[in-house]
Amino acid sequence: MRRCFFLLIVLAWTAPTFAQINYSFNNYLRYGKGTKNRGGIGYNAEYLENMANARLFMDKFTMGVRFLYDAPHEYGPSFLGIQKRYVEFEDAGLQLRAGTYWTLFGKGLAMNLFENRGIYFDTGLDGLRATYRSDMLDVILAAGNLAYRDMIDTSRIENYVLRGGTFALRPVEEMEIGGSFVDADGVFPSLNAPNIDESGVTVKAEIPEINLALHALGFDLFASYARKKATTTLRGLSGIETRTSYGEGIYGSLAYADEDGWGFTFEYKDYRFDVVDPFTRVDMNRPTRALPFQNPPIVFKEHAFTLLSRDPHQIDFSDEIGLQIEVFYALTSQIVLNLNASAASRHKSYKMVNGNLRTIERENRLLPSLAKEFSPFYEVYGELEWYFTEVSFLRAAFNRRFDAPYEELGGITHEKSSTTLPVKIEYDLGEGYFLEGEVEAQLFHDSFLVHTPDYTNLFLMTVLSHSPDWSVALRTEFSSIDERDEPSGKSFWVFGEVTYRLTSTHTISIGCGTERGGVICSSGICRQVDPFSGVRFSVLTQW
Amino acid sequence: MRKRAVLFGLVVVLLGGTSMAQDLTSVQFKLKDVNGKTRSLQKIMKEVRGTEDTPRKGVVILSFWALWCQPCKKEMKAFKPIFLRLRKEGLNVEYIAINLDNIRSTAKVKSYITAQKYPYIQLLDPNQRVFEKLNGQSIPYTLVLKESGALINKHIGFIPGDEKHLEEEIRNYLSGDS
Repeated sequence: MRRCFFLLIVLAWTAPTFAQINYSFNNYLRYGKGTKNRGGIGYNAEYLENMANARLFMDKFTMGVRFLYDAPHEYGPSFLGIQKRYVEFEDAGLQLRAGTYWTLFGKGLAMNLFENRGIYFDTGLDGLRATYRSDMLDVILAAGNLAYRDMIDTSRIENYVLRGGTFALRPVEEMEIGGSFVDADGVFPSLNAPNIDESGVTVKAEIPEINLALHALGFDLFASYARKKATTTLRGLSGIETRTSYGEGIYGSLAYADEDGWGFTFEYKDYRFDVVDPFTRVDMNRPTRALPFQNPPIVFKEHAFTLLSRDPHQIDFSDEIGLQIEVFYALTSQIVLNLNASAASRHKSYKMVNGNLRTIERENRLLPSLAKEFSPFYEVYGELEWYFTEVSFLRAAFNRRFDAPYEELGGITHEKSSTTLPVKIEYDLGEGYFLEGEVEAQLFHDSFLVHTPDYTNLFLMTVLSHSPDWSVALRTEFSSIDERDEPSGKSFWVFGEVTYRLTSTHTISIGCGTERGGVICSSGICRQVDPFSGVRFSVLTQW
Repeated sequence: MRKRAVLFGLVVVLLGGTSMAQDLTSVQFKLKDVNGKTRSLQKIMKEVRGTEDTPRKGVVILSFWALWCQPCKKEMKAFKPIFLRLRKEGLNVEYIAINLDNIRSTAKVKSYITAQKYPYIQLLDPNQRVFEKLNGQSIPYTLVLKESGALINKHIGFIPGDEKHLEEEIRNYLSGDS
């Protein structure tokens, strides 16, 4: 493996001597050392990750390889060697790929494969993909193996063989009709030996999907429907048991934008891929759930402000109904308003009555419920952005969030609600110097906290930068939370970071201090990030 | 000790390679714009460089961004008055903003860019296949191309004030200084 890596380096240095060959190379190195905290117990943490991507372009062929040195990764096990590789041919709208790839069918109700290194999530396939794109028709055929590593127990791997295809037909410019089909065979690890392929549980999932898109008069309408049939086979002591379950999902959106500078988007989701009772729901790895390669839109806002992006709503793709509306409006050429509101809940609730589990339905079958039994979530957000010069701006926002998962068996609600006011200003000091300041104030309520269920957080960030060379950032956070309720045991955190650009494509960052941690989510995939105290270093390079 | 040695070695290799920038622009692609229309880079480049009888010098900027990327949005916003100024002066400049949002946000992209009134060509790359082809690693990622498709420079990240350096690169090329 090391020989392959050094061979790549040699090739990269000598490639310009080969005619008709182009190449590209990028590298991302991360290193950190310090201590983390989990459940009040500190532990030493050191990670070293180096990801090198190289591609060779020869006429209509492309070859790519990723060499990974995670020893270890910040989350998950070590890896040393070739992690991804592929060969691709492309000509006249046809693209054939053998090796590693990610792909998207429609809006992801049937299949949405992607990678997010930041939260160590990867649903890349290893196999074959054929794509054809023309003005009227797009077709993708895909087949391959997926080894999905669990987000919580990273030693647990679910193995899938996926086969599927999708098409999108545009008979006229204003309309697109599409459909997909995914066939998946999954093998689940046994409880006793999570990393052994043989287990008593297999699942066969078949997911057909249809969709329609219309564009006219400034409006964009999209609607899709998917149905999932999951046949699970359990090999136990008493023999083989087979069960079939069905689920479905709907996603729709309506967007409008006009020349006067305003636009709105309305989104609706009704994901019922596995609506089950609380006894069954406890098993979050059950084979009938929305499977890891299904990743439709989350239909609520993902935030940039620090306190708003920590501990967001954790979507359940198996059982969630909700909607979102977002409006952008340019009041003037310098002032833009952004308003957002979203709500979601489970489809059903359950109650024990005389030893029997009774189902409770929502009053309105088309809308989420804000009654506590249905694990309601809602959020409202408003933001004003004012550019008082060509490059200096002020951004002020308001957010109110309420999230209350309900546990039917104990009749317990875990209510988390917050009111947040973030303000950011960026100011041109002249001579290439910029100063950025950010203040975020938050009132937080967490019903599970024993000592301080109500507390305040205050986040401050100052960045001084000089284009194009460097920037210096200082982030501090205060909290009135009782240290016994806080996983890190602290109520004050400070982190300083210096970034320097060696060239326009080579950047070094060094940081030191303490970070609070929390739940970080991206595209509906969430990871618990432990509090950290120490040093971080990274180098981003590209040729 | 071993890790420090690897770390040091990697840093030396990386810094040692700084002179090896390569041209990636033999890559052609077609992407849909926010109105659902398929646009081809080849056609856009052709419009920029003019005809064989009346060739023109020009610059095309390819910039990858996402709704969740604050520096990306800052870069697009900061460059807007510069872009309009260059166009007003009659300079042949085109800006292609390529959005990388996954399907979670593509419905909102159009309303966002309309409210901001960006004068750029807006394309969608939800699978990131073009981003990968052009050696994208992180965003914002900006390529500055000649009318022939050859690379003038590329940039990763955005520090406020970078837009002025971008303007300088464009003017230097168009005036024949580079």
